[in-house]
Amino acid sequence: MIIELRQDILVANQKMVSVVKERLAQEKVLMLNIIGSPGSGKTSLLEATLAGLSERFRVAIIEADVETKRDSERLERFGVPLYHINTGGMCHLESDIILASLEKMDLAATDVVIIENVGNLICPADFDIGEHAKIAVSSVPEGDDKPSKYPVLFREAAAVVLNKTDLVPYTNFNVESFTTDLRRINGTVPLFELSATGGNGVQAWLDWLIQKVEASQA
Amino acid sequence: MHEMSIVEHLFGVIDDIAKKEQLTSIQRVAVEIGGMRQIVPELFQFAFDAAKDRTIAAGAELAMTFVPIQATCNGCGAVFEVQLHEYVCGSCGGADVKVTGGKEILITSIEGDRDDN
Ligand SMILES: Nc1nc2c(ncn2[C@@H]2O[C@H](COP(=O)(O)OP(=O)(O)OP(=O)(O)O)[C@@H](O)[C@H]2O)c(=O)[nH]1
Ligand SMILES: [Mg+2]
Repeated sequence: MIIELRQDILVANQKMVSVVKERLAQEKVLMLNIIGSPGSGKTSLLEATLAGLSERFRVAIIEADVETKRDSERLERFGVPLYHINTGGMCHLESDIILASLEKMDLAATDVVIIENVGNLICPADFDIGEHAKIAVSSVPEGDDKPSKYPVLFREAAAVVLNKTDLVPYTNFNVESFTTDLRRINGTVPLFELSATGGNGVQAWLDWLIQKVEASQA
Repeated sequence: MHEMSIVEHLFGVIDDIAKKEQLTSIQRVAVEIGGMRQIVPELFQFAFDAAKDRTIAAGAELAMTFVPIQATCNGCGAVFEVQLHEYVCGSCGGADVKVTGGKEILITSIEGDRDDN
């Protein structure tokens, strides 16, 4: 016999996405999902973000790593609630694991949850975890062709961060070509060119984020 | 290698359907995958073959259909197929477009035998 249907294969993930979204909406919490290659500077961006934001808003962090707790340890000094997930080889996060982390949090006393996803440009883009915005982080040493090679992440992103701009003079990275390619994939996405460790351009990113958090609380 | 994880979810769905329909074996599974899903067919097939052993679908054939990415222009309303991930309206050149198709990740049919005792 043949059974005809049209059933979402990721139905289990989507169910948990609905629960996550509901919980966040109840408590007016904004949730961001930071996605980028290994070493692109996701943790460094979090450090710069916490330095500029943790006085003003109640931020909680979810750190995902395949192995080790090193990134979490780097963020401890900010004194914000920190939830660590070892994915044990998995190349992305799914919504059930995010829900489990949210359940450990005091969401009523949280304004924004920022998630550092596993370093990977493909898999995390395919799994909704109930976030309000995906943030794509790309960096100068990776080369200017990343939007063209990994278009779906850049298409799905609500903001793109081009990090390590302090290294442009030492590489053949062509900012114009990066921007042109990005615009073909996503003509309207805000682009923040910055140096997470040097500080240049970080303020524009913080301003965007502050506006997002405030909008989510209105 | 998200193909592996997606196939894991697929077998979860297959299991549920098999239980509900009281299937004893499955010979064929058909799926529909949108272009936004970044699925490499060979990897998906490989993951499916690796996962099917010792399941009700051991020996089952996998049929994959791929759906192109479709977008609608927020400026002029034109609906167009996105080629090579160029999300720009072919009619007015506008870059403010919404993806309206290509995110599908569906199981569309299962062929199997039912326990009729
Ligand atoms: N020159 C320069 N180096 C940077 C910048 N941002 C990050 N780095 C360096 O890049 C390296 C990787 O940064 P991380 O923040 O650990 O990158 P990540 O994306 O979190 O890496 P994974 O979690 O391993 O995927 C570190 O040595 C950082 O100091 C920057 O703006 N400029
Ligand atoms: Mg990191």
